[in-house]
Amino acid sequence: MATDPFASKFEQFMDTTRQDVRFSLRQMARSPWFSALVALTLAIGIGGSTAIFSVLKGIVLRELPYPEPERLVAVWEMQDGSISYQPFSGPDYLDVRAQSTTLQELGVTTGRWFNLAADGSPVRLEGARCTASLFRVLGVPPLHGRSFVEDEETEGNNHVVLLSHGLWQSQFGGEPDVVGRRVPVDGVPHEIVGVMPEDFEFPTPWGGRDTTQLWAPLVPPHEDSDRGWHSFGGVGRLADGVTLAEVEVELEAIAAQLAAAYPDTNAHTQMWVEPMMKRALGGVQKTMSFLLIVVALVLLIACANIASMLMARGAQRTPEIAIRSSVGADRHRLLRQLLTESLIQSIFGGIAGVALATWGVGALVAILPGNIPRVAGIEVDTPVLVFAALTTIAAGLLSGLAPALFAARTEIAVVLRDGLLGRGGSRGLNRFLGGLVAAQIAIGLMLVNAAVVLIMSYSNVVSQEMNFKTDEVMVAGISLLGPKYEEPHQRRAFYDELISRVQSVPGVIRAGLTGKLPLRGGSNGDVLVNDEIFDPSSGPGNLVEHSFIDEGYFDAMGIPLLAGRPFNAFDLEAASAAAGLDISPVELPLVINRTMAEQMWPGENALGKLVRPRSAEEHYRARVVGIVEDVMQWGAERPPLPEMYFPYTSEVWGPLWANLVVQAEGDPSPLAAAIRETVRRIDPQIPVAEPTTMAEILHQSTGRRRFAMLLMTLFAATALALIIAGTYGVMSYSVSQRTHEIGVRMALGADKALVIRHFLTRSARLFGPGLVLGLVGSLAASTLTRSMVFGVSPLNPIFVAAGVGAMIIVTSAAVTVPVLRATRVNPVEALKAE
Amino acid sequence: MTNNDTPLIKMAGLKKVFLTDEVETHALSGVHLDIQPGAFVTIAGPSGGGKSTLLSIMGLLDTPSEGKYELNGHPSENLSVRERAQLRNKAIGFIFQSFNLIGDLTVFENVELPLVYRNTPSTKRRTMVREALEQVGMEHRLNHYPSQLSGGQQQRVAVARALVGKPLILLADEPTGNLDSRSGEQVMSLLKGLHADGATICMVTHDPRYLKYAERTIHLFDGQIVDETDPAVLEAAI
Ligand SMILES: Nc1ncnc2c1ncn2[C@@H]1O[C@H](COP(=O)(O)OP(=O)(O)OP(=O)(O)O)[C@@H](O)[C@H]1O
Ligand SMILES: [Mg+2]
Repeated sequence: MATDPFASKFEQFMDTTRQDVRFSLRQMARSPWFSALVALTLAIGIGGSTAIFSVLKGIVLRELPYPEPERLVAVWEMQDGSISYQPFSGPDYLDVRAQSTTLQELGVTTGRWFNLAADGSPVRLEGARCTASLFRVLGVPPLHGRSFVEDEETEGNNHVVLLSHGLWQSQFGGEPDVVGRRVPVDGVPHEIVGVMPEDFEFPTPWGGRDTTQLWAPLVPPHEDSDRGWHSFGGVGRLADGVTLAEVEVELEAIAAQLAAAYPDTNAHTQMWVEPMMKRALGGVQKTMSFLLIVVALVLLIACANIASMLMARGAQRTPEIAIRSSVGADRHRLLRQLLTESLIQSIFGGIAGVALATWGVGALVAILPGNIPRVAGIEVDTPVLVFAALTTIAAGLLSGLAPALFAARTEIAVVLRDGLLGRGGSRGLNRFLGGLVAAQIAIGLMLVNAAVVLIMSYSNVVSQEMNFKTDEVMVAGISLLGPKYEEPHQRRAFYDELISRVQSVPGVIRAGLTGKLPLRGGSNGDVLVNDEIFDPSSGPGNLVEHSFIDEGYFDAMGIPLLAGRPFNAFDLEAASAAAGLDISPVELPLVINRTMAEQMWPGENALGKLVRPRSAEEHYRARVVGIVEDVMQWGAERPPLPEMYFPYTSEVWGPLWANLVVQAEGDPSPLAAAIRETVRRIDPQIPVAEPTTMAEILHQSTGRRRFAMLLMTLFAATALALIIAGTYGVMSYSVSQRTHEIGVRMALGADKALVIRHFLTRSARLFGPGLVLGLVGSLAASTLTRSMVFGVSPLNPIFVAAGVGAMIIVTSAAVTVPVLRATRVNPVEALKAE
Repeated sequence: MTNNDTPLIKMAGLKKVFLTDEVETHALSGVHLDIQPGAFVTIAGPSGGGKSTLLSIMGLLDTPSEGKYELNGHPSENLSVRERAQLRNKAIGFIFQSFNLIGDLTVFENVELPLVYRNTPSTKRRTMVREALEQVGMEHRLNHYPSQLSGGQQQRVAVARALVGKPLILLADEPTGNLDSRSGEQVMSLLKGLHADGATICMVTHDPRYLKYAERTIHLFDGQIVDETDPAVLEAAI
């Protein structure tokens, strides 16, 4: 017969598989609704997992798009040995770059706005200044032209720009001959030296999404007095074969040397490095991993669900299994057939799941919060399909194994003799089904609890007292750049004109100016209060947020004044005059927030107190004239930090970038056009950012939390739907198996109430352990979700009770229908059917 | 029938106890039975006498609680589950009262099943299935599903499935129990013909009309063989 044993083995394998597949398909075709339900359940589980995985893959698992990306590191300074993301100062960067051998190259960058007037109409662009070395660190050559050279890092030589691919397309029509062309940037002609490729990603050392459209050379400040001015994000490339630890050892030595040479600024300064990948993710990894776990749990519920459906159906298939074994199919062979069936089912579910995921990924990307980085790589591609395939196989085996094992254990002699299955599923099978229901309920409870906690946290975040007006306040960014605005008085004249014109726009209550907005971060520095004196060797000082504002800001933003007075025109004038005259030190008026007052002068009146910078040079001396309510500075979740507000005129170079703040009588959105028009009338060369409301800024700052909450709620709801379907299925099965028993009971005189009680007790016995298990699981998981919780305890008995209540309602709903059906059993019929 | 061949079936002191809810049921309590190759044996007796139990053990669907059972000279005690399945596949052909065809398989596929499980190549399977169906007169219904056949036809297909693998013995548990008398007669004459061609058959029946087909009838009462009768004597008694 067969000459080649391997070939014949293979043929046998194929023969068997063919038969099993054919039989599976025939079975599916015979009960299309059941098959569709199984496929749909799997599609939800597999599709959800695949969609979340593709997001995770796009953001987290994808390599950074640079050659040898693992060698890229973010380099930071820090004070007093506590890890913080302190940017580099110019001179420190130059020293490190000159001395380091463990870093093959080091570059620095800082983001800023540019006004570009390519074809006469100005646009305000997000861009960056960076050193020529930074492009060498990244190792990505421009598509056209060249990147910067060292020579361009000096004043006067730095009027060159690099375009992003997107900007090249939108503003220059993608013409290749833009290189060499001169365009006005911030009112000064700049030469376009190059265009970056389409898939180029500029690093974002501060996290978030890369939105850089334009680059200009950075001229690093190199005076020793600039060492206290930290504003440059460092990105380095490790030398060949060098480890992070080796870099840190070298940086430690360099920092020590700088500390000795420049104790006033560098006594406490150290440096540290972090893999760029970690930096690029900026914490998003945690959210996405959490969601992947959540969706895996949903998939698990789906599998348990299908397992129970298959087992309930498996009971109907007992005769077939018995016949097969009577003619000599052994357990292996039966298992193989049944698992093939599960896999085929699962493949249908997987295909539907991938379709669902492809659609879902689009939807996910659309609702991804704006500060999630690197969304460009999110798509259903080969690795995602491989993931989907593996998930499909796993789901097939997971959902099919237990039913197959039970089916293959059929007591053949009994079944064959009776011709039909004996009444009542085996006790083991019923117990296992109960276990599946309990497990689903446990997982469901965990998901519902997590969803409740996230919803409550989100609601806590957004319903916090912000201490500024949200719906009525519109803000618009303006950059006053260019030769017309080099002098502070020129800028001041512009802003004065702007404020007075905007205030006269109908519907405007008040207009003001600020260098930075609440929730949007900013800058800070150490201060000395009262009669403290500067001592470089002393420990960390009082870190305080800095704001530069005009006299209308508090009113326009709606920040309540607690004591003293806000700024007035006289304060601004005085500060401006002083700054212009360069009288040093100048005594400035100062408004501080509640937290600063309470922290620095607990139990005292802060009005009239003195504040100075914690540095050798006393740039300013300020006296508290007012105290305002706290507003949050760094997002909507970090409690307010001490903050001081200076008149914007006190800053020599400020504000080049300002935010116009306008409070309207009602909905401010109709004012947007008027605001733009007002600016255009004053100077058509100055572009305005699209005006937005503070409500929108709050909305953006809670985007990541909202994203997690929405998905968590969606998944928990999906889980509940699956659980209702699964519990309903199992209970229907168990009731249908007991029709005879119910008939007997009723024939013996049991009334409906008794029958209902009987089944409710049975369900309670199923659900009880599930709920207990779910509670334990929730407790265990609460350590995982702690960072996502805001203002609530995940162990709060009310939320726990709400979760348990929801599960009880859901499961009761699922058992009601079958149990009611049981009470309608006609005892005569039931007994005859036996 | 007394010859010196090794018996195909050899049972000695066979007992079967079922334990349900702490009640012991002695379905078989000490059965001694030899069946020679080529024999046609019927098993009779009252309901609950242990007939089906005996047949299940004979067919390796069930195991005895005590006693010895040799099939074709092989002791059955030490067989693994897998070996039992293989032996069942090769040596035994089952025919049941409730035909036990698989509803989702065609006539051809049902009959093919024992050959599939012993990995017979498909070309060879096709000829063997055809032969078996010709033997029972069902070769024209290859692609029908069981539900499209009458009861008698279904049972003939079941007979074809039982004999397609050329087993050592056919075991039939009330094969006519679910059939009208005409179909019952047809199935019985089919079995008779098979026996005439040399098949060994062991059949459980309640129906005294069919006892005459056998050369030997065993009476089971309360799990024990109480009597062995010559069919002629039995017929006279009725
Ligand atoms: N799986 C089982 N579990 C418990 N008891 C069983 C089982 N199978 C059979 N019995 C018991 O064993 C005894 C013999 O049953 P068996 O089915 O062999 O009788 P039978 O002679 O075939 O009866 P019938 O003519 O009614 O088919 C009966 O008392 C029966 O209740
Ligand atoms: Mg019987």
